Amino acid sequence: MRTGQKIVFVRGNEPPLRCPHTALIAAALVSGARLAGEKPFLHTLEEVDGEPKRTTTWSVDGGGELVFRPGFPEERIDFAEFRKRFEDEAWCRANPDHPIAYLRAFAETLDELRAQLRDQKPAFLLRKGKRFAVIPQDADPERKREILELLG
Amino acid sequence: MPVTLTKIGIQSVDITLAESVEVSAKIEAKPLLDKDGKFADGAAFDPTSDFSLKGRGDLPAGLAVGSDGGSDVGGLFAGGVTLVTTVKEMEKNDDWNAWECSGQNFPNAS
Repeated sequence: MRTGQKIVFVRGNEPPLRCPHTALIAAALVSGARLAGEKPFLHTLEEVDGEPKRTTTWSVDGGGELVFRPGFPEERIDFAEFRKRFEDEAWCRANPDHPIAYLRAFAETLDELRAQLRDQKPAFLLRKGKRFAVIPQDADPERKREILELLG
Repeated sequence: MPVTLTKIGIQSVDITLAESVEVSAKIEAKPLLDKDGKFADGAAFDPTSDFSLKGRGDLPAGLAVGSDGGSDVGGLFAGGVTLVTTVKEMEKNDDWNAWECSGQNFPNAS
């Protein structure tokens, strides 16, 4: 987060591995969008009326520009050729505007995001009036205690 | 921009406490007067919300996420575009890191 930055928040209430926003973020990233800041993802659990409430939030840099250049001719190819291009990273890098390159990059990025999300535990969101605390599950017990005392 | 084939790294927020959350909603109303100078119609344009937050720990992304409890905060960051106008981060040797930020949210922007 920095001064002058425009941020677009993408919020959801489903587990990130099932949430359609994960695919949206992967698609945007391969198209040139940027996430906002170094910690652009927040996954929290909060108890609301005795029920756990899950929230995922992606912070996307709203000032970024996505440019598409569909400068490739129409072509008809068979599955073997499609597979050859899809599996050839060098071809994808050499043809970065081709739809097959986008599909490959999207598949890889979504896979990568899901792998990282799988390793992340949701943080606890605790609220008191207008004050709130976001505490990772694996935080040091001493720090958890300190922050709960600060919350009052 | 052509496709980006770079590795993506995501990090989640560390321990954070928001000690102060101030939000104010603003709206510009445009009344329309009829030929006799009486109020005929009105419309609200460009609703915005100003916010100001202070806290300890690491400056979190996605501030006020899941905030359905605070009546003012709820929905502020649910959509639109948020413009960060000030950010201040303070590191201390003997206490928590502290942070402050403020800005405006434009709920109708995309």
